[in-house]
This record gives sequence, structure tokens and C-alpha cells, in this order.
Amino acid sequence: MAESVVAAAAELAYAELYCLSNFSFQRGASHPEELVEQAAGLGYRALAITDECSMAGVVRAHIRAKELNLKLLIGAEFVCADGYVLLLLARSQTGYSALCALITRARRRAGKGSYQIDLGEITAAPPPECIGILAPPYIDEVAGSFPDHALIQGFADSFGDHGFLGVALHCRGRDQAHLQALLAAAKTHGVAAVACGAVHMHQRSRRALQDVLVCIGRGESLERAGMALFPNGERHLRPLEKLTRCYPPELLAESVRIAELCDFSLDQLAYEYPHELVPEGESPGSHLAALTWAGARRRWPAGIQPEVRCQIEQELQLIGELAYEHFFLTVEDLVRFARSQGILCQGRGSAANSAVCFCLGITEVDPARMSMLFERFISKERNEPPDIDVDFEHQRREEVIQYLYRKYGRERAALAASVTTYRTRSAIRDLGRALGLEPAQLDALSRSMAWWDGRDMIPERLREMGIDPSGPLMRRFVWLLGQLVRFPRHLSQHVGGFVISHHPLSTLVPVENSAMAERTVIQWDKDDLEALGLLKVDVLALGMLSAIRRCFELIKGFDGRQLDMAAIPAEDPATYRMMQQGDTIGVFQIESRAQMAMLPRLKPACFYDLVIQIAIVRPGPIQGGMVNPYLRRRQGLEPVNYLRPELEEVLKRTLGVPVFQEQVMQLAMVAAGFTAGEADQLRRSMAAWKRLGSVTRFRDKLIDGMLARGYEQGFAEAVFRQIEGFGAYGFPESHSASFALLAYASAWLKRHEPEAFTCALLNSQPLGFYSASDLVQDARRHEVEVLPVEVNRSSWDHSLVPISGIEASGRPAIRLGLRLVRGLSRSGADRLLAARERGLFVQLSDLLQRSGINRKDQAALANAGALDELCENRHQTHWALLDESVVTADLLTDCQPAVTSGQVRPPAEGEVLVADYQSIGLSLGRHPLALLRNRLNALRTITASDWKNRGDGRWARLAGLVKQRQRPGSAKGVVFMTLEDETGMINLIVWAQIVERYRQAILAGQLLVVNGVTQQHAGVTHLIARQIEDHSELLGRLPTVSRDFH
Amino acid sequence: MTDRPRIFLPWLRFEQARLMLWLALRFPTLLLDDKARGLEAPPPMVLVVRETGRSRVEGCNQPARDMGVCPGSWLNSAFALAPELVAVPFEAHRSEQLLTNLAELAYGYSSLVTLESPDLLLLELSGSVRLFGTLKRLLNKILDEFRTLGFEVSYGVAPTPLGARLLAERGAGLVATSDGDFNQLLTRMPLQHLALDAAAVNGFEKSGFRYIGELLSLPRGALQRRFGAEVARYLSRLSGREADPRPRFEPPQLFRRTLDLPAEVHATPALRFAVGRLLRELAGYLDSRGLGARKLVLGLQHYRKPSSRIELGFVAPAGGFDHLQRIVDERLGRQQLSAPVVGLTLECDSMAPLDQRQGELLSRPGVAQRESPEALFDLLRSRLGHRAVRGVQVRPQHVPEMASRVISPSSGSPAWQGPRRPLWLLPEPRLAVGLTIEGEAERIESGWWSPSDVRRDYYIAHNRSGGRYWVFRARSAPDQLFIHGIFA
Repeated sequence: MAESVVAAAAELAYAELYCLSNFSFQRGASHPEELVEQAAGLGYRALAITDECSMAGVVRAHIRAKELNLKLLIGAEFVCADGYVLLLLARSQTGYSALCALITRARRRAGKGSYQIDLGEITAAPPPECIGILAPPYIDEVAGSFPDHALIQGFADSFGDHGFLGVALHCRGRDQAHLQALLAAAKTHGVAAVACGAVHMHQRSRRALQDVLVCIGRGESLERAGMALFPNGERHLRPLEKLTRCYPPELLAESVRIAELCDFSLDQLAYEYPHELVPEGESPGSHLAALTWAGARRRWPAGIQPEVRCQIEQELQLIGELAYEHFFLTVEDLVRFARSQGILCQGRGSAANSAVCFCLGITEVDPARMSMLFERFISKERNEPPDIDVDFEHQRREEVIQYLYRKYGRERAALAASVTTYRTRSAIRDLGRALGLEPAQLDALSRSMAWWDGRDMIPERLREMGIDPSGPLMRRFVWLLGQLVRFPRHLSQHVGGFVISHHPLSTLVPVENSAMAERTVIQWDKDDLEALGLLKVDVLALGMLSAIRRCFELIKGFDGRQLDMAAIPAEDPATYRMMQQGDTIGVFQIESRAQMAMLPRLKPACFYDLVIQIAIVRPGPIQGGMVNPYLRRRQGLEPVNYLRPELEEVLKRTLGVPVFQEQVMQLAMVAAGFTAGEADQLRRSMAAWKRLGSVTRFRDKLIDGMLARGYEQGFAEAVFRQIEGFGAYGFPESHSASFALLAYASAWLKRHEPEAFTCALLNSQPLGFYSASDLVQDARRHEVEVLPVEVNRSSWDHSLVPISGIEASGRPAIRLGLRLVRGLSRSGADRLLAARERGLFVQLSDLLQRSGINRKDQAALANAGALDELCENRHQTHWALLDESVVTADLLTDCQPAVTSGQVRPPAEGEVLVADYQSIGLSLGRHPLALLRNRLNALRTITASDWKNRGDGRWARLAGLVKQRQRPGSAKGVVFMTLEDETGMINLIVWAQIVERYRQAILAGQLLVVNGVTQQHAGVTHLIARQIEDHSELLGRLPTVSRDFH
Repeated sequence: MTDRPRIFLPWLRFEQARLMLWLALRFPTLLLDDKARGLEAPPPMVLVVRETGRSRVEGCNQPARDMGVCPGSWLNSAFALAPELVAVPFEAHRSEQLLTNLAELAYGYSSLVTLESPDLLLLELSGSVRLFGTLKRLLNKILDEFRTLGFEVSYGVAPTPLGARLLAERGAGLVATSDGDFNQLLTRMPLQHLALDAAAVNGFEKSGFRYIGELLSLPRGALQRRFGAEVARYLSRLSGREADPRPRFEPPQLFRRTLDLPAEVHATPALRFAVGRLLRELAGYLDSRGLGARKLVLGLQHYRKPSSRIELGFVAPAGGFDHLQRIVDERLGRQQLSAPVVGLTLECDSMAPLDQRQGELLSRPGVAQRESPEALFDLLRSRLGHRAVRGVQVRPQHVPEMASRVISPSSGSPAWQGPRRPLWLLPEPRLAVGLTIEGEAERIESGWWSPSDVRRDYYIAHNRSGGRYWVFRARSAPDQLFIHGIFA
């Protein structure tokens, strides 16, 4: 002991054993990485991350600690009664598993975000192979005797040699007394005392942020928090010299000794997929092979092509080498379950590169029809598990999730977490509240910031609001904001990332409750999982799958025809013609404004064209300069030449222009000699734009490789620039193909069954780019009849109804459903429908008495005009509903309560429009701008349809409702907007300087008048905006909604 | 030329049909105007109300409005817009008192005056118009009177009290002298201005009504069935279809007595007896009403010189002859006579119900039993001067400057819990000389969000004579030692 003391003193050694990161939400004020960097910089022997009942931050710390060669200890902190704190540090994997199990127990029995455990419970059964450090509160904070000897004795008895007494000193005026009391207690109870820092931040300068976090946690302002804040900033990682002045040397030495007792690193974690899917007598490999070949025979009843057979064999071999069989079996089982329940599903992403996945029914992209690059999915060089994402029908995904829980149990299956961090708006709000600023002003500041404004714009925005940003309080506000943004706020559940394990998950990572009742979540997010090599399955929801299934059901319900995905005729010319005109509102993947502008130029005529269409309209190919060359070659304006035959093989299908990620990888392989694995790393470095600069690592390798194969320097550099521009946004071909299948199906349905298609889309909202209003308008433009919401005719969902009378064409009409009515409760609607079963409603009193719906539902229906058939108009309806005697009217004797029609005037067209938009979000009457057309003419504007006939290069002045705003990050500050008037849509392009000049109008305006120059090219018309005026006041109370995209 | 009233008022059947004419006067910044009355160019001022530990702006004067401050915002934000803002706390009592004083003034123009807290007066003018000639002249006179006193006032005139109030709240100086004129105004006035709750306004709007005028022609039964009797009655009273009787304002209590002295008095002790007589009368007056005095004014009249005034304020309403006399004697004892006194007046116009604590069940009423803390404060203040007696409030804060606050004296404040603190904190730290530090440092780094941003190491130190002091070194200037407090 004496030797180690001397040695330690001579070397100034210390290990920090009590340290919270910002994953101890609203307590820690530094990221795990910052803590590791600081500890390494200060020369600590080791650092323990001991977040409060949590392991959420350890993976990040682990990665950084490995890079810096700092020993990292894993542990957790538990706050017990009376201010006593217990730290548990894992000594080995057994200890770690036990600690995770303890955290799980404590969290599972409490609500989301909290935990419940007491010291007695832990001392009664201390987790094996863990160090325990008991840190009593400060001597001044304790009313009774200090310290609590019974407590310490109990702790000492339970932990024995692995129990220590933690002494935390922070210059609070009675440090010596505190120290002496604890040293005496340590001696009495036979435990060693150790110095610990109770670290909440990596540097003293974070104390302001730490104060703010405490206030946010308490929901108070800094003024009110008072003594709940720390009195000083000493709780940071202090330099060794400082520590030697604060603590006696034995206590510092003890910390190093404890650190040496711990020998656990996250790299030691072993992880296995569930074994039970393999039947008796089979091995995982043989079972997988059997399922694969059976699937292959199903897919290709006419026989398997030799290349495909070869591919399958190669894949099975690689899967076997990397021991991923269980993973595939698990996903196959899941998909088989879904299909058995009639739930539409489809794999996406890189998994679509796998022939085995196609055979197993996980993906739908046929290797016989498309080339595959398996290395994009799995390769030996990738030191990472594969990623399989499966889209399920949105509506029924929950069934799939519950199946996973049922089959594997809650112990072995859980969702990955997602760390919700502070964004600028939430940070402004919470920080401002803590500083005592007023909510209305903070709101105004948030709203005045465009979603693309960086934080450096905040002083400017403050000045616009009349607040001086150079005052001390505001300067602090801006500084703290910069620190707070991107801090974790809480854990929530990942959208669909499931982790399934053979052994209970809680031995790997703690599991806690999620906000939803039937869900549990592990404390790591998907980046953590990837870093540690844990497999996850993404069980995603795709709204379009639900919409397609609904469409099939509607058709069957209307005229008995049974359609499914397989029954949709392939390569239908009418469908492609529709696409070529850009008439694709509602169609999966090709309905965005950018897509609609591209369709008339690219003119897809076959399935593969569609695959290219989907992949090419993305920032990657646009930035890489692929789009225009491709279009020119397609139109025959440019010759297609390949410099070398090997390049032709890679690029032939896209006319010599690299469009897909796989092509980029293949280029690297054939032109520069990369191996498949290296090519995949190149792709990943393109995708990892978070860590900039890594693509350049490959630059030399690529160019040298190409030069070695006889390519010219200029050409090689051009290729590299293309790859760089491609960046993160290029699509994998297989992924695009999976999506193209759905795009084609939805397009076919739109072309041939527009009523059912629109009705299904409406029932699947929210979905896609367009609102219910847009979908309905588009349908009406295609001569689909849409009927309003009526209490005597509508169901809850939108439905197809036959059109009767002389105009009957055999086509159905869409009857809008009660679900559209804002403010109508589901239970109210159910009561209404149940009462209606017994007979249609004849009068208002009849409806009120038989259905018994409450006032709120009554008002909702009245607002929507759903009662107009009983009461003539909305004003009458409201007036009648207010009258109590209407409800109690005796239906047999009074035909109608005292005639009130004279008292109330009927609504004007504009009032009906406003009420429609407020209550069902759309109108079957005229477009709002049709009503305003006279006023707009007085402003000297023309309509969209007139404008489109004006021609290229002409000046024009237009008015329209703002429907979409888009500011792609790649476009150098340009904003694309879509306006709408009663005759059609207007596409605006606003250059960056114009954006700045008319910022307010662009951000907040609902009705804009724009002066600009027309640009017309290949059937697509744009207006280049020069001046923008905001005339939203003309709309009065009309609510409008615009979608904003990054 | 008055219209024949369209609505038949049965109780005027046998009189000449004389219409009532109501003037509503609204004082939107009553307390602020009061505070600013002495100033030529008042600063931006806001009225604040404390709500859940924060201060909210209830009203602002014109200079504050010019700087963008609005009612409803928090004080911090208002300061961000106008750093030189003066914040005036809302005092219900003072507000009530001011309104009452204004009502007294109004009483000079009409015998039917009625108050509507917190900021509205109603005057019935039909009787007074003839006295002043025309309505316009009368209005101008009234408005002038209040405005020269420094009060912001908006007004409205209508045949009914509710109507006048409605017009005054619009702030546009609307005048409707007949039902016809009034109805005309109402046909174009949006119904949001009615003093109805949101549900009723919503119901009307949803049924297509936009203007107040439209509502007045609806049958009463239809209104009542839908909105209840209250709303129906309100609209009836607004239009004058139904009477709206109002309680008359009566000028408040005033005690005023004068006493002429038989001979000139040159020294204050000699006044004691005479003052005592006045006080005894006052005590009797108060006692019979169960009231206590909040303020007294003792006037000393001099021969051919303006009289001196001695004002006395009480922390809690004071009654009981002994108590009153003791306080007044104490004060008189300090008073220098500027000239011989020939007469006395005692005036008390500010009274309030007597505090329960001051009397016990079986004792003689009005006689103070024990020394209550308030009585002690009153005594000290009259001896030492008003501003010399203050209270200290303790708050749980790390920064010493924020932990103690000077307030007016009261009994009761939560005890301090935390590290050791001196009894007496200096208002400003002072450089220390000749002190030796004992013990270890207490580091305080906090308050960065306020003007008291503190980074100090505090110590206990003693001087040669054993006095113990609380001292600190600032972290930014560690070689200097300052005294911040003294231990008992």
C-alpha cells in the first residue's frame, strides 16, 4: 500500500470514477466525447462514465476512448434517499450484465424516463463483480447525524472488499470537516475512502449551461431555482495538481487502484441471434439453404438461370462464412408471418441486392431482371452487420411488432432508442424560459427564424424584434444556445429498429419503458448498435402499401373484382403516357414537384426507365452533373460513347452516365482496381458526410488506379469529381427498383381506377406530398365526382358510391367521410352511424335525440355543413343547435320547433368556403382565388393557365396560394415554391438574393403576388421571381397550409 | 331635437318623455397617471402584477407603448424593449381610492354617479346638460377637468349605462344622444366588443351574426333559450328595452374637526392637551364604526402665515385613543414650530376596518393590548423617520446580494437554511484592512444571469479585537480582500 502511495504521489495519478455525461438528462452538461477528451488531455489514468441509471452514453465514450487510448470504465449512478448516491462500476462482463439487469429492473417498474430503486434493495443483493462506491451528501446538507452509520455499515457488510466510501470536495467552506467525518467513518466501518469528483461537466465554463439544464428539468427560471443550483463550478474534470491540493494522496491513489480492478470493455460483448428457428437435426446453414432453394423454385418455376444459381451459391457461402444465417432466418420468419396475415410488405435498401433475399420473399427485386451487387449488402471487408429494412403496411405494422414481442418475448426483443436532441426552436424556448424571458417573445423569435437560418442569424433576428443583442443577457442567451443545440433531451423509441437476441437483451444493454404502453426500448440508438456490431431489423411502415391494399379492397367492395399486386398488368402504355405528362399527383415516389418537372423530359416508357427516373431526380445525381447528359443522350442529342468495353458493361444500361451507387462502386472496381470491399468503403465514405474529408482518402487511390490502367489524368479527375458530387444522395439501384414496383402499381391504379385510388389515398392520410384538398382537386380535374360529407349518407371513411340518374356512367363517385370533420370524435361518429342504421334522420331533433351526440360533435358537424340537408344551411343549423327546445322537441306533435329561418341570414359563398376549409380542410365549391379574382385583377395579375400560354422569356405577374416551399441544401440558397390558383399550379424559382429581400413574405405569406420572368423549356414552365408581395390579408380567416421541405 | 323614443318606457308615461343620457369615463392608466402626476415628461411606465413568481405587465402609458411594450407581456421582456422603464406595482387599495377620488370630482357634474371597478365611472347627464348649455360644452368641461389633473381618459355617451360603457371601451369618443343614433352606431359595430363570454360570441358568429345591431332585433325568447337569461338581459339593458338601475355613489367618510386655541401657543408640549381632545373625538368616531385610521393630517394654523401640516401614516389601521396619542405625541415632539399656533385641524379621510388582532374579545374596544409588531414599527418610524425603519427578507439563493432584500417591515419571513451567513450584510462590500483569515474557502460562482454575477471565495476572518467578519476574494482579482458582512 505504501509503495503505491509513493508511486502515485510521484506520478500524480488519478482516475475519475464519478462522472455524468449529458445522457444524464438535465444534469450533465458535456457530451461523453468531450469528457473523454478532457480526461485524456489531463492525463487521467482512467475515466468512468456513470450516468444516472443509464448506459445510453457509454458507446460514444467507448469509441472516443479507443481513439485516444484512454481506459474507460463503465458504470452507473443511482440517487438514493437523503442525498446518498451509489455508484456501481463493472469489473467484468458478468458484472456489466448484472448491472444492465439491475438498471432494467429499476427502469421497467417506473414510468417512461424514470427509475425506482433503493439502497436497501441493492445492498440486499449486490450485483456480482461490481465495485460499489457510496458517496454521502455534503456535511452541511444533512440535518441529523452525519454520516449515517447504519447505512454505511449495511453497505460495507454487503460489498466487502469491493465497497468504497466516496469523498467529493467542492470548496464549500466545510470541506475539512466533511473529509474528516468520512475518513473516521471509513475507518470505523472498515471500508476504504476514495476521492471522486461528482463531475457534471468537462470544463468549468459549462457551469452556466449546467444551471440552465437543472432549471429546464425543474421547469423553473434561474431566479426561482435558488439553492437547487450548484453553488460553484467545481464539478468538472480538474487538473491533477488541483486535485492533489484538495484531497489527501491516499484517496487519489485509491481511485487508481479501483480502476485497475476493473477490466471490462464494450468490445468484449458477445451477441447472438435467436437459435430456435433452426429445426432439430438441421444446422443454420442447411436450413437457410433449404428455404432459399425452395423459394427459388417458387420464384422461377420455369427454371433457374445459371448466373442466378451461381449468385445464390456465392451468397450462401459468404453468409455462412460470416455466420449471419440466423439473421436471415429471423427476417424470413417475420415476412412469412406478415404474408400469412395478408399484410403487404416489401424489403428495401441494400438488401434488395441479394438473390437469397429474393428467394426468401424478403425483397421483390428479381435478380434475373436486374443486376445485383451483393457486396453492397454484405462483404468481408465491411466490418459491419448487414441492414435489412422491410416496409410493412402502415396500418398494420403494429401487428408485426407485437408478433416479434410474442415470439421472442419482451426480454429478447426491443426497439432501438432514438436520441431526441435539442433543435434550435426547442432550445430557444427552454433556454428562454429558464432565463425568465417571455413565451410570446420566444415564440416570435422562433418563428422569425427560417428553418434554414443558422444560429449566427439570431442576433439579426433579435434586432428585427427591437431587442438589443449586444446586451449581456442576450449575449449569454446566444452563447448558451450554441451549446444547448444538439444536446440530448430524452430517449424515445426508434421508428422501427428492432434488436432481437438469443440471450436476454438486458444482459447486453439496459431496457426501459417507452412512452407507448406496449413497447420497451433499449438505451442505445442505431449508431451505437452499428458501432458495436449488433444486428437490427428495421420494421418500417409505408403508407403507400396500406393505400394500395385499401384500393384493392374498395374495388372489390364496389363491383366484386379481385385485384392484387400480381394481377396488375405490366408495361401498360396508357400508364406510361400519363407519367410522361407529369400527371402524377399521388403516385409513389414520382409525385414531387421536381419529379413532375423531370417526367416530361425523361419520358419513361418501360419499367427500367422508371427505375432510373426515381433514382436520378435526387441531389446526388443533380450535383454530380449526371442529369443533363443522360437526358441529352436519351433524346439522341449527344452520342453515347464508352471509352473502354469494361466501362460499357457498367454504364450501358444508363447510357454511359453513372446514376446508381452500385455503378459508382463498379466503376471503382473495373477502372481503378478496387476490390468489392474497398469499393463499398468508398460508397460508405460518400454516405458518411457527417465525417467530412474521408472521401479524399480515396482520391489518390482512385486516380492512381485509373492511371495505372491507362486512363487519362483529366478523365480520372472528372470521374472523381462526379463521385464526390454524387455524395450521400445517390440511390442504390436495387432500392430504386423496389420503389419502382410500387410506383408503377400506384400509377396504374391512378390511371385506371382513379376513384378507388383517390379514395384509398384519402383514407390513408397523412401520406405523400399532397393534402386531402390537393388530392380532391386533382381527382375532380380528372372528372371524378366527389360528394360532400352528409350525415345521412357518409360513413366514417371515405367510400365509393354508385352515381345514379341519367348521368350514370358506371363509374363510382367518392363520398367524403365523417373522418374529415375536424372536432368530430370517433365515438360521436359511431353513435351517429349506429342510430342511422335504424333509419335515416328526418329532422335535426330526430338526429339529436336518437344519436345523443354531445355539443362538441354537434358543432363539428354543423361547421362542416354535414347537417345542411336537415337545416338548409350552416347558420340555420348553428342557430337551431343553440336552442335547447330543439333537443327536447316532441317529434310526434311538433313538426318543427318555432320557425327560426327569418332570424338568420344564409352564409355568403366566401363564408361557406372559409367554413369548409376550417372544418374539413377542403372545399367542393370554387377555389378561394376564384372568389377573389376581381380583386386580383385589380392588382393586375393574370391566371396560371393564361400565363402558361405566354411563352418563354416574357414578363408576368401572378397571384397564388402558397402550397409548397423547398430549399434543397444543394441549391445554394435558392428556394423553390409552388403557388396555386383556380386554374392550376405555378412553379416559382427564387434566387438567394431575392429570398433575402422578401424573406418575411416567403416564410410566412399565404397569398403572394409575384412579378417575374417566364422560363419555358421542354414542356415545363417556371417563373423566375423578381418581386414578391404578400397579400395574405385578402384571405381573411381562410386557413391555408403549406408544406416546407429542406 | 330628440327623437321620440322608439321603445316605450312605461314608467315615464305620465312625464314628458325625457331620455336618460349616460356618460362613461374610462381611466385606462389610473395608477400610472397618479404616480406620474408631478412630472412634466413622464418616463415609460408599466403597471405590474405579480403572478406565480413573475411580474406581468397589466397596463402601460403612452411613452411605454411608443417603445413597443404591450399589456400582457412579462416584465423582463418589457425591459428588453425599454431598459429605462419604470415598473409600478398594482395596488388594489390605491386604485380603488383613486377611483373614489375621481368619483368625488365627477359628483360635481351629476348627482347620479356610479363606479365600476377598476377603472370606469358612469354619470347620468340628462339633468345637467341644461345647466351647462350644450352637451358638448359639458363634456369638454368634464374631460378638461380630468385631463388637466393628468389622467388619461376615454369616454362614450349613450342612452344606457351599458351602452355608454361599450362606447367608452371603444376609445373613439363616440356620442349617441338618442336611441336612433345609438342604434345606428350599433348596426356597424362588430359583436366582439360586447361584454359577453367567448361561448356566446362564438354562438352568434357561427349563426352568421356580425354586428351588435343584428342581435338587438332578435326576440327575447329566442335569445333566452339559446344563451340564457343573463345574455338576454344584458342585451335588453344595452338597448334600453329594460331598465338598468345603478347604485348611487356616496362621497366617502371624512372626519374633520377644527379647534381654535384660546391663546397663541409657542411650544409643542403645550399643544398636547388640545390635540388630545381632537384625538379623543377621532377615536370615538372610529370606534363607533369599527374602523381604524390609515392616515392622519394634523394642521397647525398660524396667524397670517400658511398653516403647517403634519402627516402621519399607519402600517395597519390604527384605533384606540392611547395608541393614537402616543404616536402623535412622539411626532409632535420632533416638530419645530415655524410660528406660534393659533388653531388646530385634525383630518382623517383614509380609514379601513380595524384589524382583528388588535382587539380581544373581553377588552375595551379600541385599546391596544399588547405591543403588536406593527405598533412597534409605527412608533419607531415616527421617532426615527419613515425611511429609517425597514425589514429584511431572506431568500434561498447562493449569491449573497440576491439572498437578502430590503422591504417594508412586516413580521414573518422564512428562516435561512444553508451555509453559515453573517447577521448583517453590508450593502456594498468594502476593502478589508488588518484582518486575518481563519479556515477554508467557500467558493461561490453564480448569479451569471443577473447583474450580480459573482465569482468569489468567501472566508471568515477576525480582527485584533476578536470581531468576526465575512470576507471574500474575487476570482478575477484575488489579491484584494473585501468585507461583505459582520457576524453577531
